[in-house]
Amino acid sequence: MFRYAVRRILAALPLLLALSMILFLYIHAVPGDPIAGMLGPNGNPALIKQLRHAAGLDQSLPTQYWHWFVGLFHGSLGVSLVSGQPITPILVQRIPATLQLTVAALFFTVLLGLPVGFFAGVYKGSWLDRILSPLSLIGLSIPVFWVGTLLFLVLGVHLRWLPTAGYVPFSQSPIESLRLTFMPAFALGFTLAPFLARLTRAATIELRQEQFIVHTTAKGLRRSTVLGRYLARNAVLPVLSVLGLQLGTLIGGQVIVEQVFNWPGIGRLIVEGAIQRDYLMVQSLILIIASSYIVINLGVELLHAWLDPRVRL
Amino acid sequence: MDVPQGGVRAITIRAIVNNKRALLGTILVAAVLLFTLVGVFWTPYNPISFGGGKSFLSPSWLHPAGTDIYGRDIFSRIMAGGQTSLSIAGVAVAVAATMGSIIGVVSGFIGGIVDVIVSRVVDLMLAIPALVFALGIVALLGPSAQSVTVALSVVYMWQFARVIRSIVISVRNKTYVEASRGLGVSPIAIIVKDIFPSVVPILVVQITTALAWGILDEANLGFLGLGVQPPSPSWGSLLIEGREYLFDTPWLSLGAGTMVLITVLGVNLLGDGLRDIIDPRSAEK
Repeated sequence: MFRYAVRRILAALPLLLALSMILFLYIHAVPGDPIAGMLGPNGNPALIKQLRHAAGLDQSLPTQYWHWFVGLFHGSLGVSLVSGQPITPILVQRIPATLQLTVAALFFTVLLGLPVGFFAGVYKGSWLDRILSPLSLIGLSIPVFWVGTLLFLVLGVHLRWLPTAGYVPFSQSPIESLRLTFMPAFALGFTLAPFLARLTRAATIELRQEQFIVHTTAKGLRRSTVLGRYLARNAVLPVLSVLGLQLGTLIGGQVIVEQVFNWPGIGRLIVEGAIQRDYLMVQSLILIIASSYIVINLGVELLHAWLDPRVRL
Repeated sequence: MDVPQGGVRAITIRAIVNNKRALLGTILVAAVLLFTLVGVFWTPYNPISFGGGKSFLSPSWLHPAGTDIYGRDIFSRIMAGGQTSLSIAGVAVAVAATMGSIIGVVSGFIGGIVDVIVSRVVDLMLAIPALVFALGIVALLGPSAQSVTVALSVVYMWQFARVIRSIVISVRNKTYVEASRGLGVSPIAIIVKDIFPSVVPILVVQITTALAWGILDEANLGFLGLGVQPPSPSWGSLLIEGREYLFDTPWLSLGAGTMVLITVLGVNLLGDGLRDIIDPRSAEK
């Protein structure tokens, strides 16, 4: 296991390096000058030149990349073009709120999607199974801002059951924090759950035909034992690995939902950066988001290998 | 990936009528297209000018989706906005499909080191969440209809490249391709005549999927304030206006959002149906 882990981690490192390079090139391949774009009609050539110099944009591309890259190794993501503040502390400050929302959203996704998919697979052709397919199609088509806005209007404004917007750290006031987390997390979970349910159903149906399930049933084990100990456990693995790949959708949805509910996370930070056309902020945040995607999927892969030794071969 | 047996020729009017999802999808998509097409030439009220109507009216027979802050009829604005939203999604997907197919076919056909490098780049591009990536590109270009189109093309083409490449690799060494190669047919002719026909069915399904993303992401970017800018109507730009006046006129957000939902649902249904028609084995699962 250790050797497998080291091998996978070493294989991921060049990926992260290449990611930083491609992202850098991408941002610089886009025509137009970011500073002129940022200043808009207020820009005059002298000011543009001065700011370009301050941001190091008048240096050659390799030099610029090198500076950015060396900075990354020192934990510095560069300096915001708009506010002049270093990006790393701003980002770090936003991490707890974003993580809290991600975890809560995953909780709702799993709570809604896993049991529905599992039982739809076990009882294939039942009413649960028959409504799952149209339901998941609706889930795939429903815009997350629409669900969010509807929850906001109904639960927050009309019924006044929940506070409509904002964020309180969990450590400060756990109850208020959870009340604030409910709507954004549920909106995200609701749009992702159908996808998870579909996956779980497919994995369950495939497993049901496996020899060992047929065998345990034939051996006369109780149905709950077969389902719980043999089917459910084995169905979790394939679902887990595809769920990791689905993380991109969650992140995209989170950007939207943070906007709906005024949630001070990384999603809002990147939108603020994009609206102010702070290209350095956006470039660094995309790098962080894409890197976490790669790292989390590496984690999922290692977990999978640890739980299922066959993968290591 | 296996090449489906049915192929594009299986898509006939009869097949669509016999497939519940494809039929429902076609009806929804046709209705949305008609709604939008009519909106190009005629809307119940002027969707753009500030014609002195009453602000923030609730839905009624005269204004099915109410009016906005300037007294403009929201239903008319949704009608007029469809044109922009659908063209952005359509053009972006067309460009992405073309670029992605070229990358996928070339990479899969040449193979070797080229394929290894291209596949790695594609994997990396797909590690960046689509919406975040698009938002980054719009940030550089400045928010406008053109920027959104460019951003979505650039973001979607990698998915096309990955799917097309995997099919090209699966047919590259088939006997009929070997035969053409043995007969001295030029690589270009092999790609066009032998390989591309196997790619088309999957391409069709992938295009419908991407159209659904395109419509959703135009709306998402608009909602974030990074899409088409008000006052010109698009479903995305209506959403950002709707967010500003959410308490006064929730119909604006919900109306434009519902239109997006109906359109995307129609496209997804059609895509699912076409997949079943093209590859009957997938329907059995």
